Amino acid sequence: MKKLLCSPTLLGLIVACLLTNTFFSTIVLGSADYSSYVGNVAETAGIRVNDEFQNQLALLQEPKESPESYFLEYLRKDTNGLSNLYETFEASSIAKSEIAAYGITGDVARLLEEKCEALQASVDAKAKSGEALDLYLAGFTTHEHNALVFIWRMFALEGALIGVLMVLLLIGYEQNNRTAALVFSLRKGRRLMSAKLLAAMAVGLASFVLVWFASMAIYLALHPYLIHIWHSSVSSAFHIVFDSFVFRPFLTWDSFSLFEYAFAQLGISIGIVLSVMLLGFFIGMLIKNNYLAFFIFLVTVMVLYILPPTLASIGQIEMSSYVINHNPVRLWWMQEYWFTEGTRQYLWPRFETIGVASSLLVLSLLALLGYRHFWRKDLA
Amino acid sequence: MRLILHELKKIWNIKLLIGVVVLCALVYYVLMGYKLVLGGSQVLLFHEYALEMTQSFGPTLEPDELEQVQLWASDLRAEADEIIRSDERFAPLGFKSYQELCDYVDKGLFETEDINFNDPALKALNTLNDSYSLVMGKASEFNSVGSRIDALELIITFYQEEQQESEVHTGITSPLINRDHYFPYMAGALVLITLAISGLLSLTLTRDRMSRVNMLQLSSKRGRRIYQSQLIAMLISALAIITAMLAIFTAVLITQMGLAVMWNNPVNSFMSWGIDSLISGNSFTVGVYYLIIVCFAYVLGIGLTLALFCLSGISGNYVSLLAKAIPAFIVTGILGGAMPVWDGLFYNYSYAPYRAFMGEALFEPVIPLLILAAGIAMAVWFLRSRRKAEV
Repeated sequence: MKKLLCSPTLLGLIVACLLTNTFFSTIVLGSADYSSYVGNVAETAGIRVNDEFQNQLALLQEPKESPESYFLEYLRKDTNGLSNLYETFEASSIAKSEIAAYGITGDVARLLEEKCEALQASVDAKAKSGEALDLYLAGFTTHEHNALVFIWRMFALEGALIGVLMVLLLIGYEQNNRTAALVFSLRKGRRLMSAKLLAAMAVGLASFVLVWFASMAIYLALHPYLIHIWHSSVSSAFHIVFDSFVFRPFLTWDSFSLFEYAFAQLGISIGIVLSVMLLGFFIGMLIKNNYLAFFIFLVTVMVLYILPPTLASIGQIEMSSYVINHNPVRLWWMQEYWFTEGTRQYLWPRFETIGVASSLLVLSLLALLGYRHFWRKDLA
Repeated sequence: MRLILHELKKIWNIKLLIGVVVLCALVYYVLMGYKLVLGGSQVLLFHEYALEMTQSFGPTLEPDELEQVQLWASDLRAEADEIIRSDERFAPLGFKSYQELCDYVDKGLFETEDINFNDPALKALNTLNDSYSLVMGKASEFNSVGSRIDALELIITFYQEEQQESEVHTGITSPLINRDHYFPYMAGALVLITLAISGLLSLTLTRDRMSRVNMLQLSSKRGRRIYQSQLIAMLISALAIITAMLAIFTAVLITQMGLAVMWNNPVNSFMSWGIDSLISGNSFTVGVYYLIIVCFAYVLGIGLTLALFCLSGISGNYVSLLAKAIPAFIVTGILGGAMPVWDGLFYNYSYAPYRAFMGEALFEPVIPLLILAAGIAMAVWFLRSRRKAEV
């Protein structure tokens, strides 16, 4: 661990990630003015659009012809007549629209229907809690939420990259410094590799968490209005997704405030970063040259990305594509749908949790196989 | 010269070359493969007609030439009428001409509340449509008479609508040359070129350092001038990679998009759906656009190679090299290569990210030139610092 922590590579990577994230946090400022206004209103009027909120909004006055007066007008329009849409929403309509739009049949259609039927309990709970009436960022909620998820996806990508490089750096350290013969002939010998993996995973994970929190702090400093709506539900009626040619609410299995959702995203991202590090370890155990190992890692990542849609296009083995779709690369790609029903690409509820758990399991086994291979390899 | 040949031999490592080729092929499949190959899409029909019109009328379509296109559509309608007349199954459904069939389907499509999907007539019509695909062109039968009529009539409508605009574009351009296809494809080409260069060239100096041959090299007769030989070998390799990859992409563009036929056609066209270059009028042709991208590829590639030469020289091991080469690739490949995707090359589009920093200037050529300048500065710094460095 000391070797990694003292490495300028790690420090350089963390700084590069922070600079990149600052750049991206800066350029997603598209609707900041209106969102900022909504955030300020939420601070005084609250985040639930009810009678009290409407009364507070009615009392607000802005100088005529000022941008704020337009924003207030938009906000009044946005919130006027907002209804608790979950009271009438049928989760099965999601499956129906997907099945109709893509001509899905057979077991896949049945599983999709079952998944969406199971989601109805969440819809009923949301109808009771009235979270559809949460303000979030009113008319710009979808845009701002997508910007936020884009940033989280960047963080996860950077975390995975740092993690893999840390794993490759540590397992190739002795080779690079020509101390392999000495180190692996010690009493601890090849068992050192497991300690190296644990150290690399600890440092990689700590770096990811550090980058995540530091970058979020930068993002929040650039988008301070988010703090005022931090406790708004992500399933607000203002948060609309377009999928299977229909608009529908952002429907999560559990109720999440934006604050909780951010940490839930972090949790799954940690799982993905760990999975990718295990994959890097497996490849690193098989290939001596770090540089080539990284290339093979990239090729594997691309294959994991391509495999599910390719299998789906081959009729008879279509179901296998849904299983393989739970691999960490596809999960990362589908980050915007985490904690929702996951569109037609996933047939079972809570795909992100199942995906991360199964990826960790399968890749741990692969890492063990790699370790076993290293154990028997002639190092001379 | 012999040293340069030796360096070239080291650079073109077969295992690494295979890895880079496989990775590039996968990236191509994911990001670019579908950009130009649009099987079953109406876009392909537009493309076919664009090629046909170019061959018949030249790069632009003048109002008197539109009559000829309208004649093509009439001929196709006559062909569709003949199909309806000759097939006895249409008459009992009340269809005597293609126009009657279109009117019925339009009613069905736009007044969906009234339509009865269990109507035997509609079911029979669907069966007939399966045979001819006359109206609702199916993906598998995009080349049917009905689909061709739709495509031609849309082209005529585009042209007539364009006449109402303040700036009239008469240029014929395939819809493949637009923001969804040609521009992202060329951007992808730039990204792939930088990926291949990063993959193959970045470890040139690091490899020597890791295998401890650098001391031997430096103590040889040629001494520290070895770096210059390595730089020349890297530049030769970069030029070879860029040229080979451009040859592949050009072959794809010629076969899939008819680049050679379209060469003199203006990018601004009544068929290109929303492309308006800053260069007004019809002076910015498909060929010029292609040549600009080719220039960008060489400038970006050489700039990146020079930067990698420096980064490779200062890296002690492969992981440390990767930690430097990946950001270099991102800056060069993604930032430089993504220029045509962000907003279309030279397209005045307000929310392009870099415009937030650079205003409305023609920033596109500046990015590759900046990367080249940065690369030259890094390489010169490295060569100068090595001359005096205590190794």
